[in-house]
Amino acid sequence: MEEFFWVRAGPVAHRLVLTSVSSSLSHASPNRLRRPPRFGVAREQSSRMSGEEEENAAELKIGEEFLKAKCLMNCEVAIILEHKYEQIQQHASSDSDPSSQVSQVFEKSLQYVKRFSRYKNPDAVRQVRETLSRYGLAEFELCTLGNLCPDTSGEATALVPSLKSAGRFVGDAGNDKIDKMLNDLSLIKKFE
Amino acid sequence: MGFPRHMTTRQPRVPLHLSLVRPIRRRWRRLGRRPACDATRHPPRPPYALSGNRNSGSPSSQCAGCCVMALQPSIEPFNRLVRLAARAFYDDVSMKGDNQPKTSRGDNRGMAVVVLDALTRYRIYIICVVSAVSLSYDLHGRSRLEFARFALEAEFAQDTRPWVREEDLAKALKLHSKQLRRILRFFEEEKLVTRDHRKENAKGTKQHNTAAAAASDGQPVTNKEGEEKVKMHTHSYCCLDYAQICDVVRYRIHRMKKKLKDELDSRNTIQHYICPSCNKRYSAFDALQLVSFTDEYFHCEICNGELVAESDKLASEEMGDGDDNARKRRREKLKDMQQRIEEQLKPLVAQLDRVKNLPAPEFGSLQTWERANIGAFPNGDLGAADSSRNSQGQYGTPMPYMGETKVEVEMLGDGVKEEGAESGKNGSELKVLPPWMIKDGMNLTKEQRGETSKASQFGENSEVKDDKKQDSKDDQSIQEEYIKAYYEALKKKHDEASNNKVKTEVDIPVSDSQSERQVGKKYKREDDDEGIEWEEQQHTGNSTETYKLADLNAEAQESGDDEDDNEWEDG
Amino acid sequence: MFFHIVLERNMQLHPRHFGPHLRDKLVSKLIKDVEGTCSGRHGFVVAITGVEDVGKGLIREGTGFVTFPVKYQCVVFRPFKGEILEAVVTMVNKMGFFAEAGPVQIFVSNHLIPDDMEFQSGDVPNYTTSDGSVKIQKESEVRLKIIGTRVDATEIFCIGTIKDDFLGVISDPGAAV
Repeated sequence: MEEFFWVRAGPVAHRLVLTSVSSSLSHASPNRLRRPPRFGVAREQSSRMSGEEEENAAELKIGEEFLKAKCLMNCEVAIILEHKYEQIQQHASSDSDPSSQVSQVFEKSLQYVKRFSRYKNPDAVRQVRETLSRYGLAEFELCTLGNLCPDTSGEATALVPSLKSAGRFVGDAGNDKIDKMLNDLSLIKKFE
Repeated sequence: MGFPRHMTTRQPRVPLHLSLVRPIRRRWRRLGRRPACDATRHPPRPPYALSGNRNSGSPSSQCAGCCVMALQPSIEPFNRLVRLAARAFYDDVSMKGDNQPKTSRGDNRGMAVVVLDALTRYRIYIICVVSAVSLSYDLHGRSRLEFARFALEAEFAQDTRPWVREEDLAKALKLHSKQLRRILRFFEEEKLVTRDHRKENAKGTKQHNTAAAAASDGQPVTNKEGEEKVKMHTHSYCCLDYAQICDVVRYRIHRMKKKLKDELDSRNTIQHYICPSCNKRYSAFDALQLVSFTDEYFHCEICNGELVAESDKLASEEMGDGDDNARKRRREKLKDMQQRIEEQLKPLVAQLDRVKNLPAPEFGSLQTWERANIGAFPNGDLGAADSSRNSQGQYGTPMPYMGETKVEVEMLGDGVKEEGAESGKNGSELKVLPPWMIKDGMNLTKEQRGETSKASQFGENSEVKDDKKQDSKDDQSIQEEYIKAYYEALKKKHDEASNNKVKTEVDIPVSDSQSERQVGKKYKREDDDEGIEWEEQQHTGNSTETYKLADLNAEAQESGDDEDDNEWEDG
Repeated sequence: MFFHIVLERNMQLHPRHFGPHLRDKLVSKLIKDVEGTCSGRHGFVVAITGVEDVGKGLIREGTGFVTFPVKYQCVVFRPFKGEILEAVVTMVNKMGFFAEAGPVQIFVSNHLIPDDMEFQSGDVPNYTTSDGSVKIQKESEVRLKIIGTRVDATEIFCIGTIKDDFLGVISDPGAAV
């Protein structure tokens, strides 16, 4: 018994709301990306969270509003923001310093998406979206995959666990399908 | 000083709520001993009984006794919860100042459990007193029928006795009141116990019992005279806060589990930091504000102390060195711990579940409760009582209702604190006062005499009993009837026990045989009685009552020793 | 994650702006008011990309100001719990490291850094594996998972972890490219 006396709660709150913590069961934590998927088993934990409404992107619990909204990949955002920045520059060159015209949020976002865009060419960006949308992905999944460009189906399902839900990519066939999808993406990148 | 032997002889415990309280009650009714609901037998509703209306909030016109009966099954699961929780979480609590060396002799761990138990079963103590009273009463040649009725009254009283005067409790537990207070303060912090303090004049306290008795006999005592003359003493009362206890226990278990889980898969935890100097807690969300540009650590916003990561304590404790093996070991240890929590807390969790949908007994503040019981607010104006309490504050400043608090009923058990010198006076009172009162008075003196050594007290009691047996054959027949009923119920209980797998039930270690042994009293009892909860026993009337107090003490010593673990793992 | 969403806002405009350029005024005011703000619900409003609809103005009694309900499209950045994204390390210390993903700040505490990475103090504080093959320092790019978010009036702060599969360093600036 004694071992867990350290958990004595001390003064405690009144009514508490129990929130279950989603348990991720995989043990390995390779800190290096692009490793061969030693633990290629997809984590199946995602769908068994009870009916509580805690936000969890891994299960596509991002709220009705955002679930329906159009997601943007970093490369798409880069195109939009760069375009807008140019406009401002043109517009502002006459009166004042362009960088003072945009918010810090804008500037940081622009830097960020420029740094983390996998695809620079607007055509490639469009192709990526087209390709991915053939696989019945949710917007959020599509963009996560487009942003992170996983190499293998194992990596993809680890990063986007919701892929394994709704019976879209079941079993080996599903993994093959994911691999094909990723392959399509890498082809676009290659010929960009 | 452990008594591990008794554990082997103890019989499987039956959950209290399944106990044979009810069958026996039914028997009582058939025997015609049960106080009826009519006004003639209960003319002025015994003051304490009114708290049976705790749900309705106002003293109602129905028989309070029945009300209590109806409610009783709902309180017992809560009491059981308290006892389980006590064993789970508080059996290693040492109420010692830090400066005192921890010797094995002065080790008072387990005391906390004893106190909590006593609070759930304060009535045991009352019953014990009652029996003493009734027996001595018999010495005076009154009929046993009266006694039977009285015992039942007492049984009702027990349930309506959530607020306990701390001095009384200390005496019942043979604890120093300071020691007890320390424990109670601890439980107050732990949110298990509500306490209240107020000033009372000594005379008023003495008159408690007479007041109670008189009130129950329909002579409302209005004792206003001499109020100013007497010195005021601060008395403390305590009461289990059942609703909160449920929350606290549930929360605690949740925290334990969550913490282990988080430790186990440390990826999903939000780190917390604590300032060692001012104890302020921060979470990783505050990280930006805590960053220091002079060194690599986080610093407290208030005192600029270097923050320590909270879970590091555990990590360093268990890991020792930082190598891979240690990590693995720690993981295993955590897993093991998690498993054991599941396993060992099972009875507690089960009890929590059981209690979840029951309304928790609410007694209100001391004043509210008392007023409800005394019927000082016949219209059930509890709000007024409450506000009066507020105005009075917790620190016992005399309040406008002071006069009433004198009338407030301290149950029978309160008599204990009366001075021995009173005994003579009590004797004289015997002749004038109605039986209720006399019992109280007698009780006090007996208690008082036996106070230094309980053994002697019990010895006395059993002597008295013997006398009585010789005295009247009628009594014997009645007694036989009781016993018959008792065994019937007992049998039923055993059946129940074998039916229900009681394995998961961890119960209070009530070991009758042991307590007997301890008291050193020769005591005629069948072996079947072992392991029976007090509820049953009180119904059997005279045959079992006296050892109860000893039982409580036995438990104190028992839980004080390290082998208490056994009981817990029993479940 | 970035989203393209439609939001609505009631804009108050002074009567002096009424005229042929009313709409332009309205839009520029909207941009000034909204861009760069942050709300817990929608996250950071990065840029307004278009105005969908300007409703009928309502004259405010007493002031002469007119309130227009404006529907506009915008790019927002909203981090979610459980989301995996890439970020740039901005600061490393013994307690963990801070990273930035666009407008959002993320803190990864040391217990959410894989156990085989140890803190090395010095000119460039960093977390390094025992074999030195992987290093996290300022300007490193990491892939992390958000495990908690806290929303202030003007800011969203996140807690992240790199202690999971396929998380960690993408590139570190010290390494030869």
